[in-house]
Amino acid sequence: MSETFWIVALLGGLVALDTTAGPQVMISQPIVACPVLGLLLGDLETGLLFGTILELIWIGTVPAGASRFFDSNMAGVAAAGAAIWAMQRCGIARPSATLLSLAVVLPIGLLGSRMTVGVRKLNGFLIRKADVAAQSGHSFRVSLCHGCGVGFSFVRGACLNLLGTVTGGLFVSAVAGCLPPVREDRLAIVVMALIGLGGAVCLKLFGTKRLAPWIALGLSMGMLVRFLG
Amino acid sequence: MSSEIKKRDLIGVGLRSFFIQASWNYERMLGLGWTFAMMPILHRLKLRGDARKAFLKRHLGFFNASPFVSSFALGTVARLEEARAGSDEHRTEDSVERIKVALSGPLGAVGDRLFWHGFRPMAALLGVAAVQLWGIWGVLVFLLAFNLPHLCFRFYGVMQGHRLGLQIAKEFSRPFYKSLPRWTERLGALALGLLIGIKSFGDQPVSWVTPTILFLSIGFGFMLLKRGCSPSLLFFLVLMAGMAVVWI
Repeated sequence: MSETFWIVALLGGLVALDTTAGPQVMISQPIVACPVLGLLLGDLETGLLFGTILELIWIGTVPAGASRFFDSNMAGVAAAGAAIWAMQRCGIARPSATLLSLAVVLPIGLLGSRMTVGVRKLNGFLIRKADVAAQSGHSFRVSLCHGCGVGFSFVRGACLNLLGTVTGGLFVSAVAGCLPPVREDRLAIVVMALIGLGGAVCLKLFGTKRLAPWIALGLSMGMLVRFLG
Repeated sequence: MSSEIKKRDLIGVGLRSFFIQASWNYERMLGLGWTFAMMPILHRLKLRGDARKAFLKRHLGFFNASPFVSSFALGTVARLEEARAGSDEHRTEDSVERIKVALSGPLGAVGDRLFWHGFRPMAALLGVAAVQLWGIWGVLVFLLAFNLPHLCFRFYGVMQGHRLGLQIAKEFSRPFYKSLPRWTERLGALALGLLIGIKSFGDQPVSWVTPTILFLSIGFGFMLLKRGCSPSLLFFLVLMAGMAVVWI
C-alpha cells in the first residue's frame, strides 16, 4: 500500500518537473506518464488507455511562458492512478473504474493549473533572494535559489498526484458501489467517442487543404496496416 | 590560466539550459534560470569582487524565450562575456541586457512554432499511432521523435550562438528553419491519418458501430471546436453523454 503511494508521489513530482521546470524531454506527457504509472502499478492496459485519450484531447496545450494552461499531464497520471487504485484496492470492475476516473480529470487539471500559478508567484520570492545573494557575489546561493524552484515544482506534483489519486480512488469506489456494472462493449463505445474527440482536436491543428493529401495518405496506410494484420 | 571559453563550458551551459524554466516567475520570467545556466561561464572567466557581483546582477535581469532554443541566446551572450573579459574595453553594463531582450522575442516565436506547434504534436501523434500497434514500445517512438531534434537544438544552439556571437540572426534566416515547420506539419498530418486508419478498423472483429462512433465524434467535435468550444468542455460533454448512455 505505502509502496503505491511512494510511486504515485514520485511520478507526480517528476511529471510536474518535466511539465514546467525541466528537463522538458516530454516524459510528462500523458502518452508516456500514464503507461509508465500503469507499468509500475501493474496495470499497463489502463495506463495506455488514459494516455491515449488525454494526449489526443489536450494535444494543443502549451505549458510555456505566462500562459495559464489546463494541466492535462497531472490530470492524466492522477486519473489513471485513481482507476488502478480503485480496481486493485477496492475491487471495482475495470469499465466502471475507467469511466468514473475520467471524471476526475477536469478538477485535477484545473487544480494543477491554479497550483502552477501559485508556484510561479512563490518563485518571485526566489528572485528577490537571488538579488541579495548577487549583491554579495555569492554565485552558489544564486544557484541554490534556482534549485528551490525545482523543489517547489516537484512538491507541487507529488502532492497533487497523491491527492488526486487518493480522493479520485475513494470517489470511484464510493460511486461505483451505487451504480449497476458497466459492460465492456459499452465502455469501448465511450472510449471510441473520446478518441474521436481527440482526433477532432488534432484535425483542427492539421486539417488544412494543404495537408489533406498527407492525411489521406496516412489514412490509407493505417487501414492497410490493420488489413495486413 | 586562460579565460577562453572551452567546449566543455558550453556543454555545461547546454546541460543547465534544460532547467532554465525551473524558477519561472512573473517579475523576470527566466531571469534566474538564465543566470544558473551561465554559471560555467562565470567560473571560466574567473571573475572576482565587483566584476563577479556585476556579472550576477546583469544576468539576473529579465529574459523570456522558448526554453528549447534559449541555448542560442546563451551561446551568444557567453561570447560577449568572453570578449568583455578578454579586453580592457568596458562596454556599458546594460549591453548584455539589451541583447537578451532583443533575442527574447524572435527566439520565443521560433521556439514555440518549432517545438510546441511543430515537433510536439507531430511526435505525439506518431507516438499514439505507434502505441496502438506496438503497445508500450510505441512510447519510445514519441520520445525519439521529439527528443532527437530537441537535444540537437540545445547543444547545437549554444555552440552556434558562441560561434556567431551577434551574427546569430543570420542563423535563423537559413531556409532550413523555414522548411522545418512545413515538414513537421506534413508528418503530423500523416500520423493523424495513420491513427484514424488504425482506429477505424480496431482490434475487435470489424463492426459498423466503432468506425461510425469514431467518425461521428471527429465530425461533430471538429465542428464545435471550429465554433470556439474548448477541448475541456467537449471532453466533459462527451463523458457525461457516455455515462448517460452506459448507466441510464
